[in-house]
Amino acid sequence: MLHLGILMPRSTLMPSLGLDILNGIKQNLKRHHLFDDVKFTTDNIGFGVSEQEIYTKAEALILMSDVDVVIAIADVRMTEMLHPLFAASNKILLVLNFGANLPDSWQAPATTICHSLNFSFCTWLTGALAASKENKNAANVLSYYDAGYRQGYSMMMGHQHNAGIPTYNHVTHLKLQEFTLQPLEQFLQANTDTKTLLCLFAAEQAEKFYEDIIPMQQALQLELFVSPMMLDETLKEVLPLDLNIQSTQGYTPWHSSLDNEENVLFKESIKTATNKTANYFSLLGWEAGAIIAKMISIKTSGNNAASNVVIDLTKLPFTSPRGMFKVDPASHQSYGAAYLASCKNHVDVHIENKLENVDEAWAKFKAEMQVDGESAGWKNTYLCI
Amino acid sequence: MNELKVIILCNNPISIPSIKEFLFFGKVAAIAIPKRNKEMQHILEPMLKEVSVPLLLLNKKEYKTELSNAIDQYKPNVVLMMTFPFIIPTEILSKPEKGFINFHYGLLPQCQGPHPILWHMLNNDVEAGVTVHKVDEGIDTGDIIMQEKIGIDVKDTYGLLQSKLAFLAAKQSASLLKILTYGSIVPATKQDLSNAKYYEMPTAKDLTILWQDMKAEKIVRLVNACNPWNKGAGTSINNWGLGITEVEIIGACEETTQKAGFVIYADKENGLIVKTIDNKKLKINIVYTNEGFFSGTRMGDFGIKPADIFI
Repeated sequence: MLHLGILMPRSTLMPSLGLDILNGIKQNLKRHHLFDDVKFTTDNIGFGVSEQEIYTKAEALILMSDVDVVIAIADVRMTEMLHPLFAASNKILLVLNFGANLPDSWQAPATTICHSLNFSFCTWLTGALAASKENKNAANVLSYYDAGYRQGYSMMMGHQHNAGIPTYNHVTHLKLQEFTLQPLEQFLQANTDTKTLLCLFAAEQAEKFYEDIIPMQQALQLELFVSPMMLDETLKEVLPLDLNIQSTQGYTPWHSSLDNEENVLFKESIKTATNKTANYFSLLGWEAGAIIAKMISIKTSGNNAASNVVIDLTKLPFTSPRGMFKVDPASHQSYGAAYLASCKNHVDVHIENKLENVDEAWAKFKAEMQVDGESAGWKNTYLCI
Repeated sequence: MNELKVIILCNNPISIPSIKEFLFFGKVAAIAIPKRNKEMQHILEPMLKEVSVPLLLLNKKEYKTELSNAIDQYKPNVVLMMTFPFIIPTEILSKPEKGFINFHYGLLPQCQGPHPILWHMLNNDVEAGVTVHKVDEGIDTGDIIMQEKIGIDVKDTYGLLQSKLAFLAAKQSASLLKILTYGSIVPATKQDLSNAKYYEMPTAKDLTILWQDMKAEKIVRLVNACNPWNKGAGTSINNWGLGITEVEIIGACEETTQKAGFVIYADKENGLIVKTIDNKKLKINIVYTNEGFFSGTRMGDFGIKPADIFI
């Protein structure tokens, strides 16, 4: 029996986020016939913004509940303080998030794995893609919220490290009522050599952005390069049916249309168990379930030292609805397949191609995304506001 | 949650970024340094005056009593050591509730001792780092709380690497502060002492260029390891002892029959260029003499000429 502690987040923006992740974990464990071999103890860490709450609850799970593994659905930088606690206790920490942020250091913590959907990696690829076009000029257009994570920096660096030239930065207000693209429009009308927009929005800000940018896009022939959350199919449910998105593309870690057996099984399992459509959140949970299943198998074979279990987990790729993912042995950060997707009309997403050499791209990404010195950003888990 | 209060013992400016981290969060009850260290006194006095934190000057002969009294007076939960040169007696180690914690500016267990930065460089290590560990009766043998590594760049001097480690330690201080504040225990992992190696103070020989043994890259590393604290790596030519402070490899020698240490050029146009054992041209950019620091291009003025030999 594996005792699994889960530090659950809360989100008013995406109320089902925590439950969807939990369902993903459970359904994958059931698929492996391991659900009854796992005892769950959960606790809530709100938006993941209080270091004290995260630390004391993680410590309580270890010292009082005697869990074997803790899944912390929290930002990677908010969990770095936990590494000594887990290493000293011979327990495994599995940090789950969307990869909107990056660690301060790529050094591998002995008994911690950070698993994500690699949003920053995807935005970096998207930035590089935009720079590969003939016109190197681009305006960065971000929501105030999304800009506070390294995925924004990654997108800009992906663009600028490949000869892209930033010509304008537009950051929208945090409050939706104050959302406006007017200054951007004025700039684009006056500077017709900027036709490319690097766009980073999520949820209701993504809805508002699409609604406001479409007329501008048509009038000024703009090409949009977008973040994974802007390719999220759940936007379909809220955007007007007659929306006519054109010339929009970006890298995403996953899409429901991916044609692989694991994805079919994943979507069916989630639908059957919850009567809901699979999404990014259930995918994150499903993949965490795969890691937990593998941990159980390693522990069953007699390997009980947490650091050795983590090393074993870095040795093989995992089959996933996104194709595959791996745990990087040098950093203990996971990375996986990435797909170039185009987006048309009413967020009709079509997978154009798969990133060919993921390992090489990941190595380059890590080398470029080494941030020295002080940096600022949001502390809460991405999408947990 | 504990109301954290620390005493910091230090002796070197490498500790300043970490001290600032603890001062910023208002967690410092007092800072203590050896009385003889006027440089640290000069740095710390104005800094601590601003935040009303006392600076304690410990006398080498009476530091045990003075430290014990300070712990009784300020009642810290923990005492942090950052390059503190005096050994702490066992009976004092257990006085603070969370004990003593040392910042070792090197990797443990493989680089114990008082000069880990220097030895990481002299050993041609790829990485250096900072190890934060509990203090026990041994030297640098306590359980490790956290360790972070950084690569040693080929251009790193001792001073540059020291600065990088100082800021790395400050980052670790931020994590340690959270652990000490929020946690009910101080988590730490035993060192594998089978891999331990203790390095003593370096001798003059450790800091001298051995032209007949050392390849060009090793000489560069040695020179960088001595810059700035030793003013340079020791060598001599024409019965004249000097320090080499900065060098660079500028290519391969066309002529390979000459002895290592052979002066190829010593003029204003080419500067001072010397052949190494692996047939590389080593350009000596800065030289230290008793008379001052000079550029390699001026060495002709001091009588060094082509075909002279560094030994």
